[in-house]
Amino acid sequence: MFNEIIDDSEFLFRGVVNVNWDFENDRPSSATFKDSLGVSVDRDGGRNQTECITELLLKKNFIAICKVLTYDVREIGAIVKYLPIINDNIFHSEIHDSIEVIQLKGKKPNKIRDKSTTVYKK
Amino acid sequence: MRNRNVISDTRKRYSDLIKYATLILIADSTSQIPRIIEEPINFSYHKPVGSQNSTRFNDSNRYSLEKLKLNKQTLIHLKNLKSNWNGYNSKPINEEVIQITEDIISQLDYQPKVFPTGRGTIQIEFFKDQNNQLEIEIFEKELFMYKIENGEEIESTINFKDLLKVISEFHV
Repeated sequence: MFNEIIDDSEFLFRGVVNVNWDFENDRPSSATFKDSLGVSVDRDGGRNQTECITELLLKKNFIAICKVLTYDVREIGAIVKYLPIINDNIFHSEIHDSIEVIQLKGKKPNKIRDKSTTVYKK
Repeated sequence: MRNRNVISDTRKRYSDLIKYATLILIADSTSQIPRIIEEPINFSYHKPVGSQNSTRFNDSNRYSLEKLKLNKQTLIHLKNLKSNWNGYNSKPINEEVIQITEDIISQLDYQPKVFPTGRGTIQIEFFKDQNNQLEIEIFEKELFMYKIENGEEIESTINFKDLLKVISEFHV
């Protein structure tokens, strides 16, 4: 249905929970982008922003939703993989550190946070 | 009649004597005021701790018991996070990591912001500006630091014994 290779121009959406929100700076903490299984995101897959936000909010009552451009993720040296979850989330994708390493650490989560834009805030 | 005059004169003299004595006492007591003023007093002024000019306590972020208390409350909250707390199959926060974090923040002059990660670790953050920030991810047996100092980036694992030094140097 979708191209296996996510285009540079596609946006990747991620929900942010309360404990990962940096209230002082009004942005997500870079801790949001640290996961042992790769950072799960939803590719836009041709949907408009409102559709992406609405579908994410159906899954969880996120305090905020941010988006980052695939190009920006690749620019900092991370990789984006399209990994749909059959019968659950066809937009599911993951950001990995590199081809060999899944977990993002240190600089890359911080850079992704800096490149991300908050598109929904409760 | 003469005797009465003598008695009257004597009373008057006593009365005068008493007045005179009173005047001497008053003069003596008032004369002590200039004496006190004349003697130089050496004031050794000690600035009260926490005064307007005290740099140590002007920084409200330093030694903030309120912020330490808030961070400890955050850690208690993190203990209760169950699997999938972030909506992305996250792990519960490792109890050992929570304990280590509590030990660390209890020793700090400046309180960091505390955030959980989806892999069950805790991140403590200090932020001055885009070019000066410090993030430390606390694993069970490792600390990983990402620091931007005057725009220069450093990432590395650090020892527990070096942690306080790294944080102190960031705030200099």
